[in-house]
Amino acid sequence: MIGRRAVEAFRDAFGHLGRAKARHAVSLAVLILSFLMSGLFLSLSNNLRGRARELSQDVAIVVYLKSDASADDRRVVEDRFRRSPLVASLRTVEPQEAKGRFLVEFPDLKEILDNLGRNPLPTSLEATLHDPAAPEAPIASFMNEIRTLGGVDEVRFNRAWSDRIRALGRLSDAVGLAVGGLLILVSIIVVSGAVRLNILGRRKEIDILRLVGATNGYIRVPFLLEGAILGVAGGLIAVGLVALAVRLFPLYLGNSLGALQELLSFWALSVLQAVGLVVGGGIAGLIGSLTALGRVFRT
Amino acid sequence: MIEFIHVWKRYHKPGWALADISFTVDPGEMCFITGPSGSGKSTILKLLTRECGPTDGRIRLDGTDILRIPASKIYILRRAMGIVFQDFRLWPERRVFDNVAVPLRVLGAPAKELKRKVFLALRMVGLHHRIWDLPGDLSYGEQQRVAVARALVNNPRLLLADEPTGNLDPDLAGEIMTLFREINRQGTTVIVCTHDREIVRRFAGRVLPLKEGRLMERSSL
Repeated sequence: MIGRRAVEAFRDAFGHLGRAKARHAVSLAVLILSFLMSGLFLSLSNNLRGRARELSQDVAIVVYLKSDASADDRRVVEDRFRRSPLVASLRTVEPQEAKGRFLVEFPDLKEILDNLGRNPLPTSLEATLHDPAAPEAPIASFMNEIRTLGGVDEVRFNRAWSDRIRALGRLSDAVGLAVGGLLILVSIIVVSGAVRLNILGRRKEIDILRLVGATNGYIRVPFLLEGAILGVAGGLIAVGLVALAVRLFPLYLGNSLGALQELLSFWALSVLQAVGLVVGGGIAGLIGSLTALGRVFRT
Repeated sequence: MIEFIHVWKRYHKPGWALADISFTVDPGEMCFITGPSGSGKSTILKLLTRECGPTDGRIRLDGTDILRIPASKIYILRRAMGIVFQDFRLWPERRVFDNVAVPLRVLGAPAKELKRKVFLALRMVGLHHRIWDLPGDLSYGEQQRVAVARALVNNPRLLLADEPTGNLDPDLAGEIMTLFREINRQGTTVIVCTHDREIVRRFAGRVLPLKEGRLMERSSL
């Protein structure tokens, strides 16, 4: 009986949708816009987080040793690194290897380096961390301690960029939440209006149903489904449009952004995010219907 | 079966829609509530279906005070009734079959039983051959018979009709009333509200005359 009633309720709900096409098309468009905006910001945030993660893999404390640092100085520094719980691995970069890296990064400067007559790049120690996103304070304290050791010329920690990009990701999340949230609120109001008009337009049918002994649930469920179906459809279409944007953005706009392309590009939504948008659409539609039902049935 | 005990009803306007109405209707009885427009006929039906409640007094159905039925359970009361309206109240975009099937769908009747009962109800009103037509394809008299079939499809103990012949010419009105008489002979209690004295005269039954919300003596109508 429940299965049969469910089929009837869906049939009624689709019947409602088919009867007021223009009204429901507007609701659907607003829902799509709302969840498209949320999806695009999520996608942008995915990209920024991904970039930050990539940069985090290169995060290291780098110690440049003085040219006159003794073997003992170097051993003391290495020992201190190995004893630190922050450090995952330690690698020594000899001047020759440093020069090789430099030439890979800046091949145009080879001539200048050759003209110097000697390799100006010092020996360095590169320490990767167990947690590249670990709190700043213990790392700074450890670096200050290293600076006091003999033979140490300079200590650097190259996490600033990944921190900035991660912060951009968080900003994108927040903007997405605010803009998406506002639009979703608007879409709830629009769905509520559409369902309310539909209920008022079917007042006589509802009266007949009441008089033949229909329960409130029997009467309300198709209207609830109507909103939920609109919401799920809006969410699904929005997810599809985000997927399209992820594919088309690099082809049409990406190149014109130059260096910013890396940051301002879209990454595909995760399955969880896509499902979240669709379910969110359904919930927004359901809330719209519920508010409409509450208002109409109260009067 | 039905008891109205000193029932008073006032709407949001001056004056009483019903004033101190008391009567009983026995099971299997056919009863006419008559009177001019605004005399309170429809209010009596609305009170019986709990579309509204009285200002004062009690209403009993099979010994149960229907005013004590909680709002969430009123559907149970209504499932025991069939109702026919002057304006038919059919769903124009649904076929005759679907219109008649509404009370059974609400009850969750299995498809096979639903089809059988709809067919029997339509055969009873002589419209089983129009089962797949839309209400708009039928004459007024046929539409009212569809509405009667919808009211009967669930085998109600009580049939309420509010000006069922108001939109019909005398011949079609006679057809509908003959149908009600037949339904009543099969054991269903029938209450018909009408302002049509000719109908009341032609179809003998108990008459409850109303005037300005008060129940009058038969002779004073």
